Amino acid sequence: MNKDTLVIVNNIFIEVFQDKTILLDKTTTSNDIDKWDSLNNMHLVVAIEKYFKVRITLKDIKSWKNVGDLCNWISNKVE
Amino acid sequence: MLFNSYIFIFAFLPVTLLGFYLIQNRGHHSFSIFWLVAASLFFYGWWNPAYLGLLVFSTIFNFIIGIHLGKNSNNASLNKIILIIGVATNLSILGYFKYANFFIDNLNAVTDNNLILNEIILPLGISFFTFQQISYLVDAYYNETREYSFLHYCLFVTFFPQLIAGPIVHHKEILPQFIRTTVNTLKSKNIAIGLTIFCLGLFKKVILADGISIYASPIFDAAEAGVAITFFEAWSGALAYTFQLYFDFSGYSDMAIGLARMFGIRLPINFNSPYKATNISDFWKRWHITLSRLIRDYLWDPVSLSLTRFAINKEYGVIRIYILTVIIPIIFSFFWIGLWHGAGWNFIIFGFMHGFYIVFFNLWSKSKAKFFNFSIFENSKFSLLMGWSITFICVVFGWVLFRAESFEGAQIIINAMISFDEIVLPQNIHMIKHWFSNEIFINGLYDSNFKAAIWILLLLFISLALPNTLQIMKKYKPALESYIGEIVSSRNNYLQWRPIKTWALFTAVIFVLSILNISGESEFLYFQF
Repeated sequence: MNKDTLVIVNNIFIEVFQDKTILLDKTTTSNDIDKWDSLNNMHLVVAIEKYFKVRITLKDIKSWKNVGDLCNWISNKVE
Repeated sequence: MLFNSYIFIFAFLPVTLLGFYLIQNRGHHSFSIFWLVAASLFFYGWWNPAYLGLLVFSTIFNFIIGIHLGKNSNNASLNKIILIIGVATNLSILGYFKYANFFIDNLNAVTDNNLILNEIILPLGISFFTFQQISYLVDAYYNETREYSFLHYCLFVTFFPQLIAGPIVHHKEILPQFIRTTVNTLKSKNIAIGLTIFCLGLFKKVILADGISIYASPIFDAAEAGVAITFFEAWSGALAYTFQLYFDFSGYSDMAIGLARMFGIRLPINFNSPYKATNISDFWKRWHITLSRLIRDYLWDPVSLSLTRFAINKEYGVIRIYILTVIIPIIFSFFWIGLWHGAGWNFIIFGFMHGFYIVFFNLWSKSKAKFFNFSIFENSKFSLLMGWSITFICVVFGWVLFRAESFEGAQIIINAMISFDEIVLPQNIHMIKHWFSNEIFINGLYDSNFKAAIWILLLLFISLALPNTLQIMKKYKPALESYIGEIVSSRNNYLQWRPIKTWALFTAVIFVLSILNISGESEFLYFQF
């Protein structure tokens, strides 16, 4: 996984949830961040789509167990 | 056949269990699966053999669609058509059996016609086995799961512990357990754990839910008959039903989880102390968890993803984005949750009500951080207590619509629940005396108010202060973790189950008590869905 990807994703999280204190690592899951629930999950997904210019399917979303999986997926797509 | 019947407990279950393990021990794995399927069909046909036809047709049809989805996985457009045919057929069957009469009645009311449809009997558990199979088709479409053995597929649909009223299982979480032959050897641990969970569920149903039900039904029946109801009567009826429904349905789910465990199968968690929820979103994470996750995965996520994409690409302003990406998907999902429960306006309004609760809660959470950033709203005991009270009251109002047979009946009870001018607070000791002597309950619907109050307080205490079945059994991994978050085992050591004599004695006592109190006619409330 590209370290830069994690930094960019972290910034996207900060922007979407409007919370500067969010600090992600590879093992972070939605249980670790209060504001991250199914109501705003898709805001995050679409923000990532927009930034990296990728298309994310429901199947992709389901396959991510944590932030590390998400970043690996992005790195594979972008390369 | 009901779980809470002598024929089930003393004949069907022992014979099925014994047969299953005898066949397994001789190494005939496939035959043991066949035995379970046959037993499950017998269990289902016991009510009305005519129901069997639909269940068998639905199983065969969906298995064939699933096979075709697998065969054509390289042809995306063909696969999409197959999926649409599959889902549409399932929904049409469900629509015919469950919603046709409701649709015709409303059409007649609007057009002043008098169309009459022959009385359609609702096949038991149709909403459950239809939704479970739709989720299988979608998973097969996305290549997440695949089934080539018809026998295994039959067991996935008909497995008797969860056939009638859930928990609704995903194919990919249950099938690996069916084919893993090693687990299916008889283990005394599985029997002990399964039997304990079953007995806890039986006790919840027979003693607690049936016990308090006599304080709910008279009030709702009176309202349905148009009788005026007092403030206290309305609240005691609504609260009694609130606990009846919880102990009935969570008792059923416990029994299902316990029964499956006796066969070495773990079912997903369905309840996690919902009345302990301190906000409405938390409530839906704890109540009927397998239905919530189904709606989330197959309805909410696709709708929310496409609307969010649309709104953000159009670069709409904050309010429009909020309406499109939060309010509309929430109301839409809860409309379906309501309608799933039954064909009636009261269920649809129940769904909308909870949809609006969630929207209000979401708006409050957002505005709280921005405009009401006071320490009192942080996780203080006061704020938790406020959150709990508001959530619980909202849920009770929702259940009134859920229980009432007609919208008019629900209206009578809700009007009485908010007729505050009627409240005569116990200003002095005489007032309390009057209350005990039943004078506040002018209709004389109960034999004793005192008993009703004791029941409500007792079940409130059990719901709030005691650990739930899964927490008691936590160490022994009683169920699959479908709950978002962690189930914490009970803090008190005495309340953690262990295979020791004290717990065996306790289980035996609640079992005997339940057995002695089984009455012939007490169906589970969720069977009607």
